[in-house]
Amino acid sequence: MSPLSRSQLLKGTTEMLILGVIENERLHGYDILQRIRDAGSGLIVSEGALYPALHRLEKRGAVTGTWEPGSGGPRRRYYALTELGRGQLAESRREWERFVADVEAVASAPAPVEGRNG
Amino acid sequence: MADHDLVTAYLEALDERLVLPDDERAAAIEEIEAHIEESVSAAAQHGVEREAAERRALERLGAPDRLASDITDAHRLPGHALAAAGTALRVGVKTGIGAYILAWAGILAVALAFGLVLAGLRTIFGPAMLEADFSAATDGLMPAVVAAIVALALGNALVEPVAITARRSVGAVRAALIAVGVPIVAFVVLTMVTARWDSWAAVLMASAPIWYALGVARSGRLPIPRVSFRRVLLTAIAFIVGSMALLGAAGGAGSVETFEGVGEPFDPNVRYAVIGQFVDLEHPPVEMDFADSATGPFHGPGPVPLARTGTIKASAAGDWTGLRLEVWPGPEGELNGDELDPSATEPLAVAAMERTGRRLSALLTFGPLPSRQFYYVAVTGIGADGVRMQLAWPEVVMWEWRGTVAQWFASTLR
Repeated sequence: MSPLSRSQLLKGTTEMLILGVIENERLHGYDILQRIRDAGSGLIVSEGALYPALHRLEKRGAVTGTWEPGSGGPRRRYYALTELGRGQLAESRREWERFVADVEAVASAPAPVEGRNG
Repeated sequence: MADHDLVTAYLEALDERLVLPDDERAAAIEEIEAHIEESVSAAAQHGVEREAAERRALERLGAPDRLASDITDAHRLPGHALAAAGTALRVGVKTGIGAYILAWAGILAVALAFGLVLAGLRTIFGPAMLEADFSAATDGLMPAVVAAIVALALGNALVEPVAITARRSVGAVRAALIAVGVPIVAFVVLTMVTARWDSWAAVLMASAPIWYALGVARSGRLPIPRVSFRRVLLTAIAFIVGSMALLGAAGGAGSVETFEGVGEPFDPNVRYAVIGQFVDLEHPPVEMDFADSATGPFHGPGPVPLARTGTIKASAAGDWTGLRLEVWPGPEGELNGDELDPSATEPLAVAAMERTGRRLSALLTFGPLPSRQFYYVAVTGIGADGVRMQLAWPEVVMWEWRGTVAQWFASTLR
């Protein structure tokens, strides 16, 4: 079996990563992407997946978006966490920790001495 | 600039494929544009040429189809499906009423123009130009044309607003609108609109679901103007003013002369020989009880019950057997001096007459024909020589077939 790639592991965690990087500051889409890359030592969130995820979170009320003028170009939309988003982030972190613990428990278990089929 | 064209083309493709309300679509485009700008600026600071930086930024965002689809999906909420049904209802009612008014105005304008042309021809060539009776042909044809136009306009108008409200792809919405709308349109046109159909009109009316499906499938690609109430109002005013002006100019030239007779000797024994010779036209052996209310005009799809009573004269009571009431088809269109279909070879329906002393009675039921308005009712009996003859004055019943397209097809198959 080939080892799980980072992109496969990242699948399904995009929303948690977004919520995590805007936990303490308002950021626009491009900055969110950079913060994830910088903090995750090589974690790559697909740019095509970023905006659908941001819009989904906003529709659910987990984040709020506000427009601010850009530097000579189009406006930037800054996203901030809502109370609902904070709750979702906390829950996602607990789920993630349980998941990691479960994976570690299985992955680090000693292999049986004899196979079942002998 | 080629690189600028690349970004513009990408954003235009995205704009075209996002199925969102205008404000949400514009906001999404602006946000992606800002993202590309940030990405290109960052790459330029690392010495990457602008064109290459733009190309790389677009590649990272992925194909515009996929991005548009993902963003559209992200904007969808559970309540949007119900809202889309409401939008379909609102747009359907608005477009249906508007297209109905516009279609009738257009048809009446064409009919008026046609009438004026005929009136002009009549002035030149004489009254014979207007003897044709178009009523049977146009009675069903006009609602069928209106139905086809309304169905096409309806299908064309529904797709985009429903897709935007539902935040669903146009393809998915087209499939849903066809699956739901075609049976509804078919039900309405087959069972809810009554008229005197002929085969062309009935087939055109029955094809309305196809016109609706065509409108849905080709929405945005058909040269159909959007129906607005301002346009409907202006059309109605223009039509009324135009009609009054044209009628005033015509000055009654379109009046139709009535039938004046065929000018040949009329012998009922020859004309109605297929039913049987008359025993005595002046003093028939059977006298039927006459009631104005029993002869019509009536209308409907049928079947038609016909109850008749009469008396046979004492002098003839023993001469006739096998007395029966018969209904024969009249001519197509108007009577024009002939009360029987010249090509008829057998009655539509017969019923034996019951005798109680000299009193006679019969009840029969016949299926009216969509192409006829008149039915010849005869009383016949068999004489001592074994020949069936007509024993009473004939009666003409007026029954104008009117019904739905489904009933027309059923009548035609009967």
